[in-house]
Amino acid sequence: MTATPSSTRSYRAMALLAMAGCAFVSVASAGPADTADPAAPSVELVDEIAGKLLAGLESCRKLGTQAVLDLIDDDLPGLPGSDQQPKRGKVRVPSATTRVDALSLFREYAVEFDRAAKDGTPRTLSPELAGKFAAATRTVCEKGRLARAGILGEGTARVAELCFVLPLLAMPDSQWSAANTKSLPAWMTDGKGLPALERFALCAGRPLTAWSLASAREKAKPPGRVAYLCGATDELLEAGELGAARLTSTAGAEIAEAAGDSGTAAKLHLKTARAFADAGHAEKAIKHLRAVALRFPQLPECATISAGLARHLYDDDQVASARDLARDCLDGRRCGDRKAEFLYLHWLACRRLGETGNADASAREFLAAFPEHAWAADIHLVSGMRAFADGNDDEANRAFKLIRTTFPDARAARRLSEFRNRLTRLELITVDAETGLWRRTE
Amino acid sequence: MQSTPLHSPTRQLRYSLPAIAALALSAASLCADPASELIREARAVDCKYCACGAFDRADAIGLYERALEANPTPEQRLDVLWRLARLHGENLVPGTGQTLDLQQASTYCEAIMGLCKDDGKIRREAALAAAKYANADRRFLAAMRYYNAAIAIPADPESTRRTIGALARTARILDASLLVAAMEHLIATHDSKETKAQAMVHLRLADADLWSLPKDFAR
Repeated sequence: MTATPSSTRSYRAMALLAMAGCAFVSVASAGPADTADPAAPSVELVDEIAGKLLAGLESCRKLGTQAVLDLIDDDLPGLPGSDQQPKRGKVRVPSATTRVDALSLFREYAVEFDRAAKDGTPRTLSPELAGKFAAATRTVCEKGRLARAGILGEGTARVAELCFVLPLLAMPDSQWSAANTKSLPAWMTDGKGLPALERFALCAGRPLTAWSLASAREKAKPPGRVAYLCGATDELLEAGELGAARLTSTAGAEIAEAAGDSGTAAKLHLKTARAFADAGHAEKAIKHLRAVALRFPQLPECATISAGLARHLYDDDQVASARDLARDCLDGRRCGDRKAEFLYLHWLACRRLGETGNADASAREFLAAFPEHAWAADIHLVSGMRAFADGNDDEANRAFKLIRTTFPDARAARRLSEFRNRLTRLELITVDAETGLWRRTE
Repeated sequence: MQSTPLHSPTRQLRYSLPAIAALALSAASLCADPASELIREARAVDCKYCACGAFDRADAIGLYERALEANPTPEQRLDVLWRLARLHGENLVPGTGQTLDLQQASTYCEAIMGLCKDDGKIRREAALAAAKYANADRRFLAAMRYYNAAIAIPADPESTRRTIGALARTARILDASLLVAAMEHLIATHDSKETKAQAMVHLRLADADLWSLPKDFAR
């Protein structure tokens, strides 16, 4: 059975929640052990909270943030931002390290969070995920009753604080104030949960929050915002977190463009387009790059965007359009440092369209200009295969030898090796051990 | 008994002479055309001409091969080569348990192709038969060569379509990139629009990964 988009999303949501659960575990279990508080929350408790995160979908959808606030006021007084003073004073909150308290944040963003939880607007996590976080807050409030009764100690309050704040990460960076975003790492005073939180923030579409957390983690050498967002985008693309990758690359591109770093911005736009395309929205990738191209009329950025656009046109089976774009860039000297890409694409597109004459011309031009380029191996393979198919074994052997000796790691070399093995297995050729030359057995 | 003119010794001799001459001529002609005689003998045990019970594949092949060496006429040679190809390459009488020699069958087809340089139809037919035997013998590269030879000879569009399809299937057995190469070779070397169009069809059906851009393209 294949996973539907919605089920894929819910699997991803589960994974996110599991990560969030890990963050709770690492934070809550580390703190109390250090202080040897007899009333410290156990790992089991935190596991339970994480478990509730995964299980509370339906109930939490019925629970709005106002209800959570009511619960807080009733059951968890003493947290910073609570309207009421603790009735028994058992809950102590380590607020010295934080510049913004959990409940204040919760109150500040509650309305928007409710809306996101119900509507599932595109820039937030899915309603299901947001709802699960709301369930977590309720769970914490319930645990707060235990805390108030003196059963659990200060660690519970830390977990509670995190549970208030984490759901709010489901709202986009743009809806948070810069000061609040910057102060978020202070919630994680021991730093052990930062990587998990950082990852979570990225997946939740909070790239700037993730950068903030990464900076807290790498205090000695905090990464630059754009460089961090570039790297994070690549990781998210590899992990298949395409929505998060798109948000991250878009955020990076905006910052880079604002800073006048158009080269990096153009590359980040390519990543945004890739995120669209990998998610099956080639048309959106093409539309995005066409729109962006207008903002980058100069070399080398226009070549970068054009190369990306040509790629997505080609991948979307708009082969003739891709070929025309490549030809335009080649003829109009709008290649920049991407001439190899345009020539290669022109060669491939022409072949796919059956225009062997044009393809051969591009192949010759490519080999003349970039004889050492790894993609040249593909061209040699095709010419060798054509010679072999025509029975011209001498020419085929020349091409194959060139691939073996000059491009041993290229994908063409791997394909050639597979082909050779198949032919030798069928006893159709013998291969000279010394020269590597192929000889037909018949 | 009084001899009649008909029965007179002179007359008898006169009437016998043509018969003797005919006999002598016949014997002479037999000596001059051993190929025909061998072909006649071969047909007596070749299932195409004899009853199934009389079929003896080994004898037929031996006699036909001797006929080939007996200076047959071009027509006889062509006919014998076809029979040898089929006797070597096809199980003509099911249940006789004969062992085929597919390579030899292809060789005879090649000989037909060499013999009929001016007759495209026969040459094409021989090339296709050779390809069939080579394919059955898993000599796929040879089969591709024969299919290419057949495609090079003009034929009706339907035959061309089928032959290009057979070439594509054979190449595909070995490697998808060989299929693409074979089709590209056809497009590059043939003027016929029909051939180019058919090759394009197979080119488009080739594995998608052959047409994929490198991963690091425009990244």
